[in-house]
Amino acid sequence: MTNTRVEVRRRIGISLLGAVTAVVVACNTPDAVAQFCSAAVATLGAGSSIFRDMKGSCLREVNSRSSLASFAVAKEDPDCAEIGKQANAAIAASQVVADYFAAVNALASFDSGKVGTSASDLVDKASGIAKVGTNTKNALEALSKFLATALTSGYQRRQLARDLPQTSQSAIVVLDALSAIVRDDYVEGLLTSEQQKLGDQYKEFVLTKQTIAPLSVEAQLALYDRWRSDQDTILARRTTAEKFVTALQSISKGLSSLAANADRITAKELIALLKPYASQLETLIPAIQKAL
Amino acid sequence: MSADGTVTAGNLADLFNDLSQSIDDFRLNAPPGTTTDDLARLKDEAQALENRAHQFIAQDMAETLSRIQPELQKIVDATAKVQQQIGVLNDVSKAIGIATAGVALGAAIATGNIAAIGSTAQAFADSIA
Repeated sequence: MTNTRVEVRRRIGISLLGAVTAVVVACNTPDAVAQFCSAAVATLGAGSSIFRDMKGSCLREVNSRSSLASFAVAKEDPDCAEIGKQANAAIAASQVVADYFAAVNALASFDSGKVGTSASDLVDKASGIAKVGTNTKNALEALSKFLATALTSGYQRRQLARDLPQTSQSAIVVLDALSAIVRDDYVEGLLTSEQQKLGDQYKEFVLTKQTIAPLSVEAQLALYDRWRSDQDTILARRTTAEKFVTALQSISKGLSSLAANADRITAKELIALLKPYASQLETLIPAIQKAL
Repeated sequence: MSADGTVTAGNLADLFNDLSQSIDDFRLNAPPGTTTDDLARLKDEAQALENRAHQFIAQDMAETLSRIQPELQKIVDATAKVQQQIGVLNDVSKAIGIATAGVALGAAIATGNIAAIGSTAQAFADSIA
């Protein structure tokens, strides 16, 4: 082999390695999608406890109708059971969207670089049988690695670019519906009613007892502390639910931006677009998870 | 009220909850001389209205969930499609794995390395399985 040929092959090898590096760098696109989808899955999972508390809130309101300190056993209620049934359906709907994000996450997290390395190993072993020169072996390895990685990562990125925008509209509709249930039916409806009726329960207790004898200052303060503590619990549930709604809206906005820009967005722009939504979700998720 | 001006189950839930609360507010600030029976009756009425509010909340949830059923089906279909795409990538990965194991077996046979043949043959069989 002449020196010129060796030099040409060396240059081809360097070029191919450069191409492989470019593909690896482009893998940031799937990473950004994976981070966003992973945060969406965690958010939707954390929301289950909020949906479950819809029946809980209803039952707490029903059970607050009995007199305070009556030691009445908590009872079931058919209307609360129906709310619980619908809440379970909302959890199921939420799971459908979470499954979708999990699948997209799995697609985005597929390690196409590993496939390239396997292809490179294949050539390495084949070279041993064919007894080819080192330069040829190196060039073949780099070429095979590039082709396998490019093939799989190209397919991966192409599918991601198609999948998310295509399904985003449906996902947005479902996320908005889940937000509406939490905001309107839970926060504005059930928790508001629970809070009002709980206050009524304390007022009724004080009124009833005062007809017999005036309540001592100590008893009034103890009642006030207990009422404050109950109010704080409801307030914490309300805050958690509002954070969950914010998180759902963040996923919805992220998908909306992605769909609006999918046909003209670059990898770098995609990362810049999804990053704030993923970061916001990662901040909100622990607060939602620990509260209920 | 919804965007098109129609009254939703959620609006009715709010309305009945407000009515229930108004009765409770009146009951807990009832004028002197209101009988115990009247107070008990007002309490029952407030609870009945609150029960009705619960029923409308459940109905509102059901209506919201019913509206998204077609979208949920689209998402289920899309999820299956994405899983197929992951399958394609895994197939490419597996095909390369099989070829790698096959080449290793060929090398073991070609070099006459008896000890290696058994283990590489096993690895080849595992990769195909």
